[in-house]
Amino acid sequence: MFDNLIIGQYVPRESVIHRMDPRAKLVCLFLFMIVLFIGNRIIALLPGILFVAVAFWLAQIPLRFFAKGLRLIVIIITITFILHLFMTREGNVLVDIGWLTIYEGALTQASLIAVRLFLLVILASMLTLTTTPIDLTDGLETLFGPLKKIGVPAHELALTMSIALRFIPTLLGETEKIVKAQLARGASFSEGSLVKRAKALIPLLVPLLIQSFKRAEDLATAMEARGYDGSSERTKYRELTWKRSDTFMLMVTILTGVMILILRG
Amino acid sequence: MHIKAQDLGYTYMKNTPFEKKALDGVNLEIKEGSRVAIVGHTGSGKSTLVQHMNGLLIPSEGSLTAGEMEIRPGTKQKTLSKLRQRVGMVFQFPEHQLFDETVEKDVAFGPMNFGLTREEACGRGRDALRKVGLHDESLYKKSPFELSGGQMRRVAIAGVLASEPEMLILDEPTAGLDPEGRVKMMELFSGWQKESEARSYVLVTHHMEDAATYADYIFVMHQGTVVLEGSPEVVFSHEERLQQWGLGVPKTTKLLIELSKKANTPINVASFSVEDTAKEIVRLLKGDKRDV
Amino acid sequence: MDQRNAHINIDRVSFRYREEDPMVLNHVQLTVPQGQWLAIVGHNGSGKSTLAKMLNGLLLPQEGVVSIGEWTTGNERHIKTIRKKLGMVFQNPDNQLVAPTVQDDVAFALENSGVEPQEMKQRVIAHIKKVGLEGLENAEPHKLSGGQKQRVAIAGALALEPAILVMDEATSMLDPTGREDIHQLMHEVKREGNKTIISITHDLDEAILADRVIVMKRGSIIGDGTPTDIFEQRTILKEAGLTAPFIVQLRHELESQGVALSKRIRTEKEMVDAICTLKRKT
Repeated sequence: MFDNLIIGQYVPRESVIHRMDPRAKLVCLFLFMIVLFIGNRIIALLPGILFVAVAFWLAQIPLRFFAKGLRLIVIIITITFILHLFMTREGNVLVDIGWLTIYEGALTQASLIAVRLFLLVILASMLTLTTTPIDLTDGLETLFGPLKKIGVPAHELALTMSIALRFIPTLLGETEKIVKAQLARGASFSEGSLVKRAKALIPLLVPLLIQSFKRAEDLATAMEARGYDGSSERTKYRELTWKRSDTFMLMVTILTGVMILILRG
Repeated sequence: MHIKAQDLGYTYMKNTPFEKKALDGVNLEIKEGSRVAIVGHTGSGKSTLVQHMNGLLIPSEGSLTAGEMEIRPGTKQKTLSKLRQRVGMVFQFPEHQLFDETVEKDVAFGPMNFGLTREEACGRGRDALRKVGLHDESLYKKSPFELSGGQMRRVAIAGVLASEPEMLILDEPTAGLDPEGRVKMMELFSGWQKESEARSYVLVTHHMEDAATYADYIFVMHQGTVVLEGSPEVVFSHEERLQQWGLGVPKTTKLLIELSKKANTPINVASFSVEDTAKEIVRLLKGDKRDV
Repeated sequence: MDQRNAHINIDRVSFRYREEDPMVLNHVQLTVPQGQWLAIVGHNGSGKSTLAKMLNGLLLPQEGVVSIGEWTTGNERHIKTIRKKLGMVFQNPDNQLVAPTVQDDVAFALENSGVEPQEMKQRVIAHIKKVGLEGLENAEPHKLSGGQKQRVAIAGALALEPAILVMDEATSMLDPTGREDIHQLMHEVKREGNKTIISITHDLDEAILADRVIVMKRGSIIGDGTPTDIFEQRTILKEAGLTAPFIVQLRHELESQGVALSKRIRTEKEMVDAICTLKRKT
């Protein structure tokens, strides 16, 4: 039932990218994001394209699977591209057929934005495809750790995120089960007017909410029984280790950034 | 209802790295009016199989015929409403499907979906509630969530029976119940089935005792296909093969097999009640040389 | 922490969830010495799970005192120690695992009690091994079977090296194979150390293996003794709405057909042996 829900899932492989420290991955992604928007012409983005291509190749994610998951994103990017193509009025006129006028500046501008978005989406989804949710959570927690001093509850946020990640598959399974149970009782979720369809969701949402509350209550009890009280004496099981290869990857990212900077117009 | 599966195959999440073949070349036939059990280890495909019987899943390969309806790859979900009325389904922990304000309304949900008016549906709902042993009418106006766990499960089952199906698919209906509750629940389904000659049920279970007691015919599933079928006597005489598939035999049979080995005497191990087992032991002690 | 001193004392404890409700526990009096395997049996609503939640202060008595060794649940400063001494496994395998992987979940209680990362690693690995889940360290909970999830929960409880392990209907949602697995694991735990095991259950096939059984009904203890004693008293079982274990049922049936066997028989193997001995005599 949730066959198409593949984006954001972790695909286990033994690649260099998979083995990277999550902090390194997050920092690299962040840096890359900034330099992408500094690169202001297609030629400047070439190192970026190369960088993403190599990273993708290294990560060993099956291309067909990846392409399937990106279908929606590609549509959005295409729409953005078309909008920019018609809205920008800069430079020489390229095409002029009656009401349709395309400027040279519009073409470069639209391509630039499309390429940027595309690279960004690929790299960002690669982060979730190659990093286990728990590593990602840990990475975020340590990166945001310093913000604890100004009152950001980094630990609580990370724990909440980790519990949410733990329960998403369980809740999806639960949803599927309830959908099937109601279908078996003759319910229909895909017929009739919008109001009718919204109403049809009640037999699904009520049981789901009730189960979720029950789960939350049980989980809170189990956590309490296991000594969780949110105190600061808590130690951490996972210690992230920054490896030499992480430094190397970071250097490569910075280098790519520098090249983009040099090539910008 | 007559059910027939021919070379039935089903694949979950096709064309993704998570693709998984759940059923492969399943062939089986269930006659009208029969009591059938499907047993198999977790992940053997038994739940996937039964969800084809009321059209919740559409085969990826092969076909499934239910009554006069044939379902093949490409059959549209919309055409299956009629089938779902005739084949009711009780899931594991059915109480999780309750949602409406009152017990009465919840039970009427199914029949109303199948086109009955509210009055008719409520009438059938009341009959079904009495059938599952909820006679106290003051309960009917209560919210289902105010009831005890056991009562909630009964209401959910009444909600399935209210559509007056000819066939019930019971997917682990006794999960989480204590031994007494299990017997009561199974007696309820057994009683329902006996009411009419056309009625049948398919019981999916991990409890070999239930399969032996409440089914006349058993299918054993392993890795997405039927590997053994027959009467309980036949199926449970293959203890070693069952063990290879991660399954056991009823407690009574297990004890008699052990006894047979230790005493080095052949015993008829196909006794599924405490009483018959005791008789068999007495026979052994008296040294009866009965044919086995 | 002195592991030997984990004698449980429940002294005239009463409890109800709301003022207008009937008593869930009614002047319950119970002591459990260190190292005993106690089964608490009773029908749904008999108060057995409430009693379990009293043991580590998840619920506090409205009357009476619950103490473990020299620590009482009524004293806020004792709670943390009590929860280190007493590990608890709950009924629903889906609702008690916190972390997204097996090893992180086993580590959870250790993190809470501030164990050093180095030691934590060792304990987590050792306990995953102990419960037979090697190779599944990185598995996600939703990919495990019910029995495996309960094993994770048990490993998580044992990793703290508690003196007491409480199983609150921990096998009731499992299939027979999963249940059998957990029973075996409980035996191993029992054999290995001087742990108190309290198993709360309505499965009398589980209770028959305990050192001692108490039967609860409507918040009171109506029977207390060895499994052999308790299961002979058919009136108590009937009153509590419970069915005798299979072995006991079979023995009673044999008795009514003229074959008398020892009341001490608790397992299938013992039953088979006894019948064979009897056969040789005839």
